[in-house]
Amino acid sequence: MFPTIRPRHCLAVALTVPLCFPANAQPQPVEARSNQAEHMAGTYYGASSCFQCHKQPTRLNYNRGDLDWCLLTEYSTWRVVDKHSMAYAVLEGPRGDEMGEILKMDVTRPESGCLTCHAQQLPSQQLGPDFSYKDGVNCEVCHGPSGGPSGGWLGPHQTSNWRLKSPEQKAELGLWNLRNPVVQSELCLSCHVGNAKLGRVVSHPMYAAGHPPLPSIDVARFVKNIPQHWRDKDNIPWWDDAPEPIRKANGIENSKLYGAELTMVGNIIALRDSMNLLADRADISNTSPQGLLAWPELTLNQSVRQDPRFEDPEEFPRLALERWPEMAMTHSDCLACHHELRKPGWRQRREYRSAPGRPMPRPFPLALIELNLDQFGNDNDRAKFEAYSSKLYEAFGDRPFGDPNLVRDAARALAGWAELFHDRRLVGAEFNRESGLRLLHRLCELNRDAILDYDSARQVASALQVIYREWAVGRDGQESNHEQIVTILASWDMELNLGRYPKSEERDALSLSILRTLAMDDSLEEFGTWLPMSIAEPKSPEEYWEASRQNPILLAFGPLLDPSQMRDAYVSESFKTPLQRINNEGLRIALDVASGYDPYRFREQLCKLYECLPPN
Amino acid sequence: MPHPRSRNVGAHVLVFLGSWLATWSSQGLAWEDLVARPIRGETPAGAPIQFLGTNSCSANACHNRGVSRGAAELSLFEPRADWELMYWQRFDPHARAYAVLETEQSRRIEWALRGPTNLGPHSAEQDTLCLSCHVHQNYNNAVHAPEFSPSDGVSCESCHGASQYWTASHYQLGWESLSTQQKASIGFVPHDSLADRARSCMPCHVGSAINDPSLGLVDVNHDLIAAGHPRLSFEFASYHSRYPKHWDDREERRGDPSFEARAWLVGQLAGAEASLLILRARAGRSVRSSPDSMPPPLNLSGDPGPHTGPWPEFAEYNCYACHHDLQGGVPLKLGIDSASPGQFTWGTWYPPMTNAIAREFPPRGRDWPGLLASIEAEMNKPLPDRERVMVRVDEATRMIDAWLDDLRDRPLDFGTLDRLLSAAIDQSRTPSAPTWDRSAQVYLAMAALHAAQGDLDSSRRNPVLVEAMDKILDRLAFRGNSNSPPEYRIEELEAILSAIEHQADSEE
Repeated sequence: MFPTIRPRHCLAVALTVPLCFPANAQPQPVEARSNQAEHMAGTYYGASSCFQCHKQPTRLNYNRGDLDWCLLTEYSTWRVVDKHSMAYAVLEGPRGDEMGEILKMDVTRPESGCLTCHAQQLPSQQLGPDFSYKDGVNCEVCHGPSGGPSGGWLGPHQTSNWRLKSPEQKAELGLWNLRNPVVQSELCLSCHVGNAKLGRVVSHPMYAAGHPPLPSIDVARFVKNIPQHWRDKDNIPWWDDAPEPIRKANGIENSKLYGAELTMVGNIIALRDSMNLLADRADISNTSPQGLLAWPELTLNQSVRQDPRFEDPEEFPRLALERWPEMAMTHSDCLACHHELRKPGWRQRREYRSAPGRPMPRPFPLALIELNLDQFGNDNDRAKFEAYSSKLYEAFGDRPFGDPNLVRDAARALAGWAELFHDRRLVGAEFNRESGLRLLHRLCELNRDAILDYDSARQVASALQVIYREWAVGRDGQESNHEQIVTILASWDMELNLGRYPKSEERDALSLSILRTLAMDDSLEEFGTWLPMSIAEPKSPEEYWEASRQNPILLAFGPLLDPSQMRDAYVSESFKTPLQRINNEGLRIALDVASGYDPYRFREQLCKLYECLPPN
Repeated sequence: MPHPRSRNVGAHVLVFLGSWLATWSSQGLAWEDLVARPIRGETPAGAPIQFLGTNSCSANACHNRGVSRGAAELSLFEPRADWELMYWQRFDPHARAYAVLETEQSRRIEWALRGPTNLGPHSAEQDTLCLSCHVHQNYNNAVHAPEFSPSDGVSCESCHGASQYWTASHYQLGWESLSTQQKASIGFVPHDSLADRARSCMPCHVGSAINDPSLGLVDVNHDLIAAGHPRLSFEFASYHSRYPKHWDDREERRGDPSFEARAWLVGQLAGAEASLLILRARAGRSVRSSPDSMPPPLNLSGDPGPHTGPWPEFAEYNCYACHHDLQGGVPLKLGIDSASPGQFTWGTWYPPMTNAIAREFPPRGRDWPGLLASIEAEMNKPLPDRERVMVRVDEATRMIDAWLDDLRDRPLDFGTLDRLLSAAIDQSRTPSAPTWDRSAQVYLAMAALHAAQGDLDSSRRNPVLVEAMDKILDRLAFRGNSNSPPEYRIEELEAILSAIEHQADSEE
C-alpha cells in the first residue's frame, strides 16, 4: 500500500542492524513492525496551503457537487475547536516552560523530540515554505504529505476524477487512507500510545515533569470526540451511487457497523502497536545515535547527557540498561502504583498474576482481546495468545520491570500475534446489526464478574457506547429499554471521562475570543454556527450548504483572517496562558475521575446494562 | 530444610561454656556484635537451643504470681515483679501476634503473596516467613519442645531467647554475677542497655538480615506489603514509651531524666542500622529465575531460599513517591521529593534523623552525611548497583556500631536537646520538598526530645512546641480509610515548623 521507502530511513536501519544482535538474541517470530515511517516521504506544504479551499464552502463548491463528497470547513473546524491545532502552543506555553526547566531542555527544539507528536518533526528538506511547527498537529500530519511521491496529491486531489481513484492510488501519491481502520488506528496510536521508530515516545520522567498522562484509547470512541471535520463513511452522498468497484475499494458496504469494526480493529492494533513500542524500547542493545529519540530517558536526562560514556555510542546499550526500570515504568499501568493507599483496597481483591506489587504492562490494550477471541478467534488463537501474554507477564513478574531481553521477545511475539489475528480473523469479519448485538451481549457477559481497573473499564465502556449507539441508529428508540441503556452509556462519559475532554467548552470560548480580536469584531455572533459540530453532524449537501453559507463572517473578513495571522494568534501570549489554565482545570477533573473510579459501581452498571439489552 | 550445623554441640554447651569463654577472643568473631545481635534459638556458635514455650515461665511461683490475686490488681503504671506473664497476656499486643495470622485479612495476604502455587496448601499460620515475626525469629531452623505452642504469639522466649539452657539457672544464686556475654552464650538475650533493647526489636519491626543463606531472611518487602501487610515504620522511642511494660522502669527513668531522648537517639541509630542491614541483604539476593514467579513459602520443598528476591526493592523507597493519586500541575504536590523527575526516593524513614544526630554528635573522624548521601545517590538510580550498595552499607553499619558505643554514656542536657530538636526540624526541609516520612520522624523527634526536656526541667516546658506538635499531628494523620497523607496538609507543616524556629531565634 505504501511502497515508497525513504532512502534516509533505510540508511538508519542499515546502521543500526550491526548493533542489534546480542549473544542471546532470539529469532523474532513475526516481523510485525509498523512501517509507518516509510510512508512519510514527501514534502509537507503546511496547513496554510489547505486554508484556501477548506475554510468554508462557496457556491461554486456547492454547484460542482463538492459537498456531496466533503465539507470544506475542515480547516476552520480544526483551527478553532480541534485541540490538535493547539498541540504546539502548549509547548510554548507555561507547561512547556516548566517541563523544559525540569528536564533542562527546550521543548520546542527538535532535539527534545516533543515535536514528533506536537507538530511534525521532519528534516527541513521535507518542509514547504509555508510549513510551520506552530500549526501543531495539522492536516498533513494525519493525511500525509501533500507533496508526496510522484508529484504528490495537492494538485490531483482538487480534480473531479479524484474520487474515482482507489485508496491505493491515492496512497501512492502520499494521501493516506484514513478510512481504513488499520491505517487510522495506527496513525492515531502512533502518538496516543507511541511509536519508537518515529521517535514518538513519552517517558516517565516527562510525565513526572508535568506531561499529562496519556489516557487509554479506544480509537473508535476517541474520534467521536474530535470535532468532526469529515463525512462519515455512510454519510457520503456521492458514494451512495458510486460504481460498485469504487465502493468496494473504499470498504463501503450497506448497513455495515463501521464503528464496531473500528473498535475491534483499533483494540487489536493498539495491542500490536503498544507491544511493538515496548519491544522496540526493550531492545536496548539497539540504542544508537540515529535512534535515540526512542529513548528520551537518555536524551532528556542531563546527568546522562553529561556522562562521559554518552560520547561513545558503544556505551549506549550499557547506559540504557542502567535506566531500564525507568523505561519499563513508562509502559506500566500508571494507576496500579499511582493511587492513594486505602484499606481495604479493591486492587488487592483481584488475583495477582504473579508476585504482588510488581509493575505490569498497561492493561488497556488487552481489555477487548477476550471478546475478539470469543467472537472471531479459535482455540489455536487463544492458546497462542495465552502463551505469549503469559511470557510477558512472567517477564514482568519475575523481577521488578523484568529482564529487557525477555520483555522484548515476549512483547514482539504478542505484537506478531495481534498482527496475524487481525489479518486472519478481522479482515473480512462481518460487522452488521446481528453481530453488533452479539458483541454487546458478549462484552457484558465477559466482564460482569470482573473487577476491572479504570483503563480496562474505559475500553469496555467505550466499545459498548460505540457499538450500541451505532446499532440503535435508525431504530428510533423502539427497544423497550433504549432510554435506560442510553442513560447508562451517557453516565460513563462523566464517570470514565469518555466524552469530550473536560473544559473543552471553555477552550472553544477562548478560541472564539481570539478570532473576535483578530477579526476586530466583538460579536462574531454567528461564528461557528456553521461548523459541522454545531450542526450536530454533516447533513445532506443541501442542508449543509444552507447552514454553512449563512454566516458572512469569514467571507467578509477573509482578508483579515489570513492563515498565518491566525497561526500566530494561536501561539500568542493571550492564547497560550489561558489555554494552559483551562487545560490544567480539565486535567485535574480527568485525574480526579480516575482517582475516584469505583470498579464495583462500574460492574453494577454493566450488569444493569446487560439486563436492558435487547435479546440476542 | 536440614540444619547445616551439628546439633549435639548444644547438649554439651554448658560443659564447654567455661573453657570456650576463656578462648572467646581468639575465635576471630566480633564479640560485641554477637551479643548485640544473637540469633534466636542458637548459641553464638550456632548450636540450636530448644524453645520451651511460655509454660516453662508461667508457673505460679515464677512469673505468674499474680494469677491468684486476680486481674483487678494489675496496674500498668506500677508493674509488679513476678507478674510478668499476666502483664504480657493482658496488655501486650505481642501476645496476639499469632492470632492475627488466623484472621480473614491474613488469609487474603497469604493468598495474594503465594497465589495458587503447586507447592500444596498453605496458610499464614504455616508460612515460616510469617511465623518468624509473629512467633519468633529464625522459626524455620528452631528446635521446639513438645510443650511449645506457636499460638502464644510473640512470647517470653521470642525476646529473651530460647530458654533450654538457662531456664533452670536464671533464678539460681550466681546468675546475677554472670556477665552479659556469659548469659548470651547460652541464649539469654540481653536487654540491659538501651541499644540491646532497641536491637532486639529490630529483627521483626524492621526486618532481619542474617547473612547466612541457611537462615531465614525476614523481610516485609514490597511483595508482602502489596499483598496487604502493613508497611513497617518503626520508631523505637515512641513504641517503647507506649509499650505496656511487664517490668518496673521507674528506677531506670529516675536514674536518667533524659531517658526519652536517649531512647530516641539510640532507637534512631539502631533502626538505621537494622534498615541498612536489610538493605544489604536485599542487595545481596539474586534475582529469581524460576518459571513460576510466585514466591513460594520458605519452608516448603522447591524453596529457592531466602537469598533470592526482587531488585530494586520498592520497600526501600518513599511509598508516597508512587502511591499518590495523580494530580495535574507541576511540580507534583504531596512532598514527593524526587531528585530527578519520576525517580523514587530512597530511605525517607530512618536516614534523615541520623543526619540530625550527626550534626550534634558527629561520629568520630567520619563524614556520616557524606556516606549516607553516597548510598542515597546509588539507590536513587533506576537500577542501583548491588555491589556498590553493599560496600557502602557495610561501611555505614560499622560506623553506626561504633557510634552507638560512643553515645552510650554521653550526657544529654537541656541545651543539647534544644540543638538536637532544631537539627531534627531542619531535616524536614532537606532537600526542599517535605515528605510525610520525614515530617513524621520530625514529629516523633519533637515528642521524645521535648518529653525529655520536661523531665529534665519541668519549669521550662515549651507550650509553643506542644501546640505545634498538635498541629503537626493533625496534618500528618490519615483520614478515614485512607492510608496516604492527606493532600496539601504536609505543605502546611512548613509554616508551623518555621514558627517554632522563629520563636527559638527571638529567644536567643
